[in-house]
Amino acid sequence: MSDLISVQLDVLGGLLADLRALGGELAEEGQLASASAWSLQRAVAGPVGEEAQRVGSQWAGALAALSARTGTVAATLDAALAAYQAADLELARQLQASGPLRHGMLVAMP
Amino acid sequence: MTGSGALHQLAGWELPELRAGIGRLGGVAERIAPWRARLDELGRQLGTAECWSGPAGSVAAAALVELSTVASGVSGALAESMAELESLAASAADAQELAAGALATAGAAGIALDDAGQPVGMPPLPGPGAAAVEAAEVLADRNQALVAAARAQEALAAATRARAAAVAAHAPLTAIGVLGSASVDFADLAVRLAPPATGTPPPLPRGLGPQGAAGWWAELTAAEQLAEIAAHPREVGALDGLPAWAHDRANRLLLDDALRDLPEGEQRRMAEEVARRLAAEDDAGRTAQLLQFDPAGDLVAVSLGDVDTAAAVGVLVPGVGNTPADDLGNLLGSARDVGSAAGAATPGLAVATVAWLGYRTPAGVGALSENATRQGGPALDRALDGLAAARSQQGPAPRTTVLAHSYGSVVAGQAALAPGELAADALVLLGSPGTGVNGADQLEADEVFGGWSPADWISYTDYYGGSPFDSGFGDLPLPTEFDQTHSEYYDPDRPTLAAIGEVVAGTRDGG
Repeated sequence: MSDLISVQLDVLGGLLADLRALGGELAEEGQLASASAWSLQRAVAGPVGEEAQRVGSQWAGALAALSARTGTVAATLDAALAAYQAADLELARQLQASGPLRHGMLVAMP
Repeated sequence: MTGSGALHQLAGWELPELRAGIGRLGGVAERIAPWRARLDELGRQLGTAECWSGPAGSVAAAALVELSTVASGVSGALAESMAELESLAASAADAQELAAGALATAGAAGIALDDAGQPVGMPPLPGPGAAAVEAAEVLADRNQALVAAARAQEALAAATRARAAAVAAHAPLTAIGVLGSASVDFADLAVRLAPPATGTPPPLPRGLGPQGAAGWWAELTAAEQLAEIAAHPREVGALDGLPAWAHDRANRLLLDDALRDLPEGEQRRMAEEVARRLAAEDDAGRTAQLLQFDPAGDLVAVSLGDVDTAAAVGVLVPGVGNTPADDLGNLLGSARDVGSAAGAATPGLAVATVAWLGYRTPAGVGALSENATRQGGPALDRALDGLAAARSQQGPAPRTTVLAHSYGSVVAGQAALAPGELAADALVLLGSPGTGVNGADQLEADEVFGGWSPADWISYTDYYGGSPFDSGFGDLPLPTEFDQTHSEYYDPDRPTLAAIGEVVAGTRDGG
């Protein structure tokens, strides 16, 4: 375990946006697979079409699981990012409240 | 009726819709690998100390490795399932065609077929008193009915094969725990597809070419790839066909080892120069990748920009008297200028330029032999094959341009003569003393550009065979100035550089 804990909040925020986008793309792929599954059943009436539809549904299910996990990880990291920002802000408030700063050292709080 | 569908049902199958649906699923399957590559890239960025260090950062990076590993398993299952769906499509096409043909044949004879393909209303055999003409017609109809029935049985058999393929298409997904659309839990998938690492990476393949190595690497999970790099950095760093990020990560481990272990001397001097150049790029927040690092062989290749994602890649091959320790900086400067010129030609273009010192350039008089090219040409050929193979796993290949200066053009010529096609879209020959071939059409690149100058005596020696100086060589000339010397083709004050940028970007006439 590293002794150093550091976070580049803006970089992390950018990566989170990318991760959310990846999750969204996979969700769309899942929807496409689901729609294709029904298309297979329409195209091939009978038992073959029913089996093919079930295969397409499996595809959609697998993709949805990956998409959901991507979204969950992104949401967790998003919460972590917010927590880092909140913790830093709270520390700053506490430090300012702990005693008067020298003249000229006032820090603007967001 | 059979278990796979009634004959009339088969005849009505909509094959275009079936093919379109399966084609869409194929597209989904093909896009998973590039998706995973982007996820891996994101995970690597997240895992760097510069972005997020500490326990939470490590756990976050591990979560993405797990996600990627599961995605890899799902991708494999989809690919297997897809193969069965393609088989389904082929059998379904047979079934539909045969069923339609059987019904048409029977109909022409005035006979129906039931759903099991058996003739209905077959005329009785003509009696002994039947007229000859009538008897012949009846017999002909009966024969047609039998032909139709036989086709119908073939159609039903094809439908049975189609159903078997559909059932088989379930299996790969069922095996990883995917039973339907609504019952899939990621945790269940992870248990099957991302078990805890054992710490033992899979064995490295032997004797694979770049395409084989690229395929092997793509099938590894993210966790296995990282384990492989940690366990075998020397082999991973040198294996053509692997993505640039893997080469970079492995070779940086070797660089760290070299800086720690090498005694004073030429190899250490080379390692220190490489480290200095990489640090400068890293500190400036620019992407640089250590694609090759072999201090014992005095070989190195460094890219400016991400070779894994660039839309255009330029590979700079220098001439005589260039060594990593003394000349990497200058070559990287030229690479940066070429990248800027390409960016000016097409603003927003993702460009990577590679300073390639992957052969030991001869020093001075050594240039009079072609010894260096005997190794350098095939090495360049393999490196280009490797780049193309690695990118083929992720989607469209980048536009690749080889920029060969001076003796580097002899190396490029030997690369073209090496077995297999040169994996480059364009070849730029600058101040060339020859290429080892008689014409541009023998260089295996769709576009061959050349630059020479009256003030560059090397460019009209033809010491190593044909060159752009020859009027019939067949290259597309690049602009130069009459007083441009041998070392000024990449000079920003000369007109050649902007034209080179257009070639790399693919916007130059003839490109």
